[in-house]
Amino acid sequence: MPLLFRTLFSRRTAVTVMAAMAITLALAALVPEHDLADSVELRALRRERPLAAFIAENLRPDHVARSPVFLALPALVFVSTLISIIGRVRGEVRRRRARGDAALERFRHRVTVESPLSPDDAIEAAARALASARFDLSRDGFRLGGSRGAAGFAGSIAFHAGILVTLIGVSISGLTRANGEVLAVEGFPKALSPGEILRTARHDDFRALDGTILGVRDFTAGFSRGVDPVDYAVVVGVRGDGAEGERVVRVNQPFSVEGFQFTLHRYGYAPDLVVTGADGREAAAGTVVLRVVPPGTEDALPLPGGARLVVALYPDHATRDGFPGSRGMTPINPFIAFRVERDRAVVGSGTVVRGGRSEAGGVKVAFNGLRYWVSFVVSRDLGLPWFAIGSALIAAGLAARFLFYPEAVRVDAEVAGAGSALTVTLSARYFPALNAERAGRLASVIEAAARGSRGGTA
Amino acid sequence: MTGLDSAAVWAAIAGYGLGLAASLAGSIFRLPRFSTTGIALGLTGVACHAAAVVVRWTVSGHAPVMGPYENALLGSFFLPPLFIALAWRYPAVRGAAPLVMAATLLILGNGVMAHQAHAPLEPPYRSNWLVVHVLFAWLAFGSYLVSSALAAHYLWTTRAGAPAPDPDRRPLVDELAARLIAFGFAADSIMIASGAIWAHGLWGRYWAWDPVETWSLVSWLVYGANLHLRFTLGWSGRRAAWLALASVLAVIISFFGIGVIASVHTEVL
Repeated sequence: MPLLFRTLFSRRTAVTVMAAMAITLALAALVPEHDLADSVELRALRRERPLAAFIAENLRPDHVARSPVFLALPALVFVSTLISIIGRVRGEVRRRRARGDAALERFRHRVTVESPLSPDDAIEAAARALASARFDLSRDGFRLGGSRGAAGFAGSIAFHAGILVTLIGVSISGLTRANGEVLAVEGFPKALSPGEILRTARHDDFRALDGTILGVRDFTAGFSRGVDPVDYAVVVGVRGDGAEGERVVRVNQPFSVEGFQFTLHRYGYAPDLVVTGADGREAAAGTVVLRVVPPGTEDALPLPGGARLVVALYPDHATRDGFPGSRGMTPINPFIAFRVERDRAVVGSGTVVRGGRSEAGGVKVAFNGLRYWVSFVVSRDLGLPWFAIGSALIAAGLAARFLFYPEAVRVDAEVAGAGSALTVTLSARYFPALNAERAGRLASVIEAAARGSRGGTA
Repeated sequence: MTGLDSAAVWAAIAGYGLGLAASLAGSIFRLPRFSTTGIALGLTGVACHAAAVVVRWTVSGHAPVMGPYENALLGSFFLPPLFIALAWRYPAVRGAAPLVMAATLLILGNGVMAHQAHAPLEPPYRSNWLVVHVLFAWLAFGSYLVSSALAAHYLWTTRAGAPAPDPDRRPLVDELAARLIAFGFAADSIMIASGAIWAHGLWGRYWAWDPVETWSLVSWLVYGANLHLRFTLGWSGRRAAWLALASVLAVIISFFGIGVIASVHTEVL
């Protein structure tokens, strides 16, 4: 059992697990992205290419990452990291209590320098030089011992602790995260009952929003040269428990209601259309939410009798090569091109400008006005603070680990001729060649100090 | 592209090109003076490159992060200064100069051939996290690429039958490559963390397994495993150098391959 335990949570296993995670995710990332919400596409894929459908459904990174087999890997990393932290802290405490050679690190480089001073004065001079190089020193007769860069070890521990905290945060997110979307049209306040939250299978998660009313107005989309987006903003009004008032909301500037974050996510046009049938009765009327961005994209609304009205909207109409186009995204001169389809056959088509009406395929279409619709991602993630704290620990830990390099030094002085000889031993846990290079530089500083002159930096 | 930033970019390309030629001649003909000249010319390229970044930033009014040209301009910027700082302190690594200059020229040249018109900063980019995220992304990229150049240089100088003017210097190159990987890993971690927190404010989630996020995690895991192999399992020398070269593939895919094999961040606004 101890052997199994040691093997399972060894650093070698941790590396293997990290490599396995990387390879699995890299392969999963190669799976083409299909919009699985579009069941028509998925059904076609299942019918024509069953293997491709299986891969698209089950081997995408988000699916793979949720599979129990994959989740076992970070769980193993978590336990392995925890054991490693405990072992390393205990080892460090033991090492610091130790005396003599045991206090030195693994890779040691020794340089001997000569001094005209007596051993006592030479060791004093060496102590001054080492202190200015930020070593914490202790003296025992003609021997100096010291270390620096202890923050590097603390950084390494902080980094690994950060990984633990991050993994805890990710687990909390996975278990408690609520995510959905709410769509609102200008001028039509929306009651945020759980059933109004789109793109979620867990409507009950949003019960706290029940009783809240969300309204939007004055959506603006700013464009450079008419086509390059530079700003999206909308005035949002919230009424309900604990929230009241209006605010301007932009991309990257979410707002919170009842602990839920609302993030401006998408927008589109919502024309006021009235469709009248051949009998003079209204076939469809009201504000129609169209997903017609960019211009020319088509959306459809159903009509009685299985017919449908297919609509394309051009916000600033202009004719391009004989076809309708748009100068830009700002609705300066909005124009709708439509066609009527029955049993997938086109029975008529026409165009209509804002404020106008047109007849085709046995229906009359009136385009009475144009509004915007906007959608917000509604989310609540209790794991986020853990993730943020874990990330901060990881970043700070790695920075400390890199900036502070743990080293231990020992200097022994002995009588040599009329003066003394100082044996400088610099040690480090890693990088023997860099340690040798540093030891040479440190020895020259000590030599200069022991000669009474100024050397370089250590 | 304005006349000024065009001139600065072409001056940088000239500096790197001449630096490449001089350092290559220094390596082939074993002329240390040429190698030193190559580094000095590279430094001139860095100065011009920095001027190009500043001009582009000033004229466009935002950090150069929009489109392939600006990404190449900023993405290639950190390679030569990181390497030159290292070469100034540790002359043993100077033999890797041709590789670093060539990589810089390749990235910058690829950018210059792309569409260079100024584009406004799109709404999702209008965030205080932008500079942190992008800066650390390119720092990580530069560190990883320079470390792989050092690894390639190490492999070349330790190949069977290679002349050995100063074998004591070889382990230093290997260890400096490891230090650069550690530095890159720290920058990579900050890049991922800042990107995740930014994504939560922008899209309402900090992680969604889109291709960019997935590949960022893949490269982070690859380099995490790389550092573990070096520091806890004692990998060094040629084995570690081969590992560094293999690891950089994940980074190249993360930064340049995603647009080819999959879409980028898959959100709307």
